[in-house]
Amino acid sequence: MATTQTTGRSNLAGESIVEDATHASPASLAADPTIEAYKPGVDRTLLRENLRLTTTERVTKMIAALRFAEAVRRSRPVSSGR
Amino acid sequence: MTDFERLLAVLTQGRVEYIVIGGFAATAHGSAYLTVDLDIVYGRTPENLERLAAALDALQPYLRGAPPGLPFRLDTDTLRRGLNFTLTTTAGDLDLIGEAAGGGTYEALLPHSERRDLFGLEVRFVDLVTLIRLKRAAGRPKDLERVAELEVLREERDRAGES
Repeated sequence: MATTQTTGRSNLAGESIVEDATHASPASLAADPTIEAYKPGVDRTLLRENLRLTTTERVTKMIAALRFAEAVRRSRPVSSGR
Repeated sequence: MTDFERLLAVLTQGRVEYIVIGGFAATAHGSAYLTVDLDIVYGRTPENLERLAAALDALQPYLRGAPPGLPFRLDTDTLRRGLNFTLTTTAGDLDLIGEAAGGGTYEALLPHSERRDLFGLEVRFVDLVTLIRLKRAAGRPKDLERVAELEVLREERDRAGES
């Protein structure tokens, strides 16, 4: 296994995150015009809400949404009785 | 539906060296998209292949989409002879990736990973910038919206002072 230097930070929920940062990722990514075109359609309020959650809360929320989607997918029309 | 907690528990308790990438890593970073499977990049050392095969044995891994009855056993030899496996297990869908597009081997991604507490387990995820790089490298049209969301997520995270 590679050896790494360990550093830590906290997210907005106060959760501790341990980074193994021998070669930290570059801070910038070259802008891609195609990807930039999609950005105005991103709902930032959802992301801001998620950033305030811990990792477990983010995953738990996603799983709950998956379960709901699954229930909707399995739903059938209710007979009107007529 | 994939039981993410069980899959991660099996891998972690089996002392498998792995890094979560893909949609589930995006969720861990704060993405609002849903994902239905778990993608991991696994270490290719002989010891880790043994640990991976042993850990997954109880979950009856099988090739996803393969016709029923096809002889398949995910043991150390199978792992050594292959690289990327798309599996179905009793805990849901699991993709084992020996090397992700863009040069993502376990050793290459390790310095670009971070450990997060999830369900009481210490789980290693690829960091957000590298996740974006991997998704860009995959070059799939279906990922364009997701990459855009991850880049906006990064902007929001930096703006809020989490970095």
